[in-house]
Amino acid sequence: MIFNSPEFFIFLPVVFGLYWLARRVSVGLQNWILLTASYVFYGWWDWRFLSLIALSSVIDFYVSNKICASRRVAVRRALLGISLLFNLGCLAYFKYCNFFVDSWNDAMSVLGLSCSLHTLNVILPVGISFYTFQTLSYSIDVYRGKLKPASDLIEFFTFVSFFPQLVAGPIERATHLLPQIQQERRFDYDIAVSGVRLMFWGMIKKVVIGDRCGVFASKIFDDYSSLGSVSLALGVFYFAIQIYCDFSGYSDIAIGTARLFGIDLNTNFRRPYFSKSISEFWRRWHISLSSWFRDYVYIPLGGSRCSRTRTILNVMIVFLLSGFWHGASWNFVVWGMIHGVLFIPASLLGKRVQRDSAERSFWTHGLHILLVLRTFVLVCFGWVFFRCETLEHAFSYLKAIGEFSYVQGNLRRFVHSDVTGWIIVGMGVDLLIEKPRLAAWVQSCWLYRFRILAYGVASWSCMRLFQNGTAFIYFQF
Amino acid sequence: MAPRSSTSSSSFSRFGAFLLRRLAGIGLTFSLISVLACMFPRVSGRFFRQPQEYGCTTRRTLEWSQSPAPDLLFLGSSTCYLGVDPRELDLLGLSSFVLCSTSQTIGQSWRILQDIERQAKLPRYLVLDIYPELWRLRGSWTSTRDWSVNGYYEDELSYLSLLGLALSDMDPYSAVLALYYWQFRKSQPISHDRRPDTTGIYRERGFVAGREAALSKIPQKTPMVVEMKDHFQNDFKEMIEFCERRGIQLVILLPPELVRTKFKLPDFLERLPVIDGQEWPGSSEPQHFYDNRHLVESGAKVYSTWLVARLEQTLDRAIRFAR
Repeated sequence: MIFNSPEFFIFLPVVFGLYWLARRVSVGLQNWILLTASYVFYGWWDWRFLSLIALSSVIDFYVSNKICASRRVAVRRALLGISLLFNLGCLAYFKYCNFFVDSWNDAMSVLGLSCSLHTLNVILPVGISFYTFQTLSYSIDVYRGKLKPASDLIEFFTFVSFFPQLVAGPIERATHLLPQIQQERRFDYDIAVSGVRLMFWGMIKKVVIGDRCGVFASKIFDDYSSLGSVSLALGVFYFAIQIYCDFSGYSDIAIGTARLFGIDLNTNFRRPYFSKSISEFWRRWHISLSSWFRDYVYIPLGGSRCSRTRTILNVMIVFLLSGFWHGASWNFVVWGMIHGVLFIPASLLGKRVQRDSAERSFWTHGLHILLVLRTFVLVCFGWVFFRCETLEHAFSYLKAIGEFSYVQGNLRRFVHSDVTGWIIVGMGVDLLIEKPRLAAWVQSCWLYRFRILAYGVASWSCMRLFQNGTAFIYFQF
Repeated sequence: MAPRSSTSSSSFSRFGAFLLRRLAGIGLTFSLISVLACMFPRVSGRFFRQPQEYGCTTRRTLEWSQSPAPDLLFLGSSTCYLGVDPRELDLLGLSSFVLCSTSQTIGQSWRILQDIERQAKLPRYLVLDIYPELWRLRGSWTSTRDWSVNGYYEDELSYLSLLGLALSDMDPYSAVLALYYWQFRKSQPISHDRRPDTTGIYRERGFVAGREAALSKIPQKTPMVVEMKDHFQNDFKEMIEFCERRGIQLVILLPPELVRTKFKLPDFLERLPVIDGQEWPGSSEPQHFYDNRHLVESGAKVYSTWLVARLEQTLDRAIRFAR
């Protein structure tokens, strides 16, 4: 089941009602309801893969308890190894196996050897990268002694499969989510209302802005050879808006839904396109994943507290892994590499650059705008590799942009007043969140009293453009 | 972080009131939009789907409303209204009509057939064009919206059927469109003053001649692998039963494609006569198509001539359902 499907609008009120009715009985019953709902939610897509989540949960539950119970370092390490092996093994099999086989076959054919392997006919389980990383962080935290393992199997199962964030994050840490599942939850009016508002805005971002930009982006990327440079650049812009609205829209709906159940999920996006540098971009984009890599890969490798060469290597490792996490394709690896290369200057001179820019921001907003634009252009450069299916496609696309050609009449096909209007609305709302003083000024205007009309028009657009279950981009990861 | 607030026992009722207030506000805005749209065509065009000629549904439904019940009726998607030319089928000695619309699924064809029964225009033979790529959809809203906005209906009950179709597809906007155009058409009769279709010209009896340039080579495309969704299978079974009860001979038509979609017909269709358009020799010749599946006018002529021969054989040995 996905958030933008009619089933979800029936499913959510039913689960919400049962969940809060069960509060009168016990927290345990509430967890049972959440667990059942989560399995129904996931099984709606393909019930066979529920066994994979269940198996992963069982293994991590028992292994973590054994890790905690054992005092011998070797045993603890071996148990952690079992958890890592199983989780990463599943990920490798379902997500990367065919990639390695294809790469092997390509390498052999380049060398002129006939030693080809057969690809496997496997389906990629939705959200496997997300819940695998969530369970991995749990096992590692227990091993590091940062977390006491869950003693209740149902609580742990609920933590792993909590439906709002199961298939596309935010990737929650057990230290944050598990205690909330173990404690009694109370219904809070303000939190629930903020949840509904967030869900509403997430749906607008996904359905009204993201999906529509996606239509234009697809047309341009699929037919790039017959288009001029301006249209191609517009295609990248549309994709940048699409992926942001799609993924942050999902995160907003997930966080909003969780709030209805009295559970707080971590923020995953903080207006990333307002970043003034690549390092700031990564502090604002997919925060739950970047912080995961920081805590479980970058810092254990030594982080920036080592030699300059080692720091560069650490940054590159993290970004290459991050690219590889997104998909089993060389495109994603190159995308990660680009961000790694762009990130290195900031990681080496980070504090100085930040201080300098802070001083400048004091006397000129103009420079900030230029820095924001520069970062946006660099990010868009990376998106070309993210969006294209092959490296060849990406390089041809970039080459075609670089030719500065102009094809008359094409631009009119891809600029639509509705879409442009909604992109401006989206950027405006992000700007208001970014600048609280501006938001306060808007709220003091007399026009703000008629905001219900804006809600109405937005709901109308959402209903009009609602495509029956258009998948979120990040489901494929 | 979520905002913090004290918990009170009345939180649920306050939350319920908040939702009701919001819903009432949104409902009021919707009503305001509808009223303004009835008064001002620009508002109507902006908020409701604008009538258009794409697929020529208006002309098709107008002609259908003035025609008697045909002997041979085609239901299906654009592959059918661009591919089957009833003028060529006259050789069969049967009157025929193509009552199709863009992306029309099996479920939609089934509901349209029920409405045709209400109009007392059931045919003797029914050819159902089932384009496999549509089998993977949950429902196609394009078709329902097209029928609501561009269709011409002599009686209001057709709008009611469309409302049912929208609700069964769980598509609130199509339901709103059906309701709106039901009322709108009372004051604004249907006209042809609308955005013209650049892809085809309406000929007659539902056929649209494809105007796009013919292909010169077979497109590079990975064949899609599809399975018929359960709800379509159920619709199909109901449709077969319906035809059995009314003595209508049902024939399945698989349209030709340059790159064929990979699929397997459900087992229950084995007992029905199936005409596979892929057996048409022209199905591998790009000059007959303007994209992978849509025929240009000359291609439709050749295909329809081939279809006459196949229908002649098929209708002769088609299972007689009348008991």
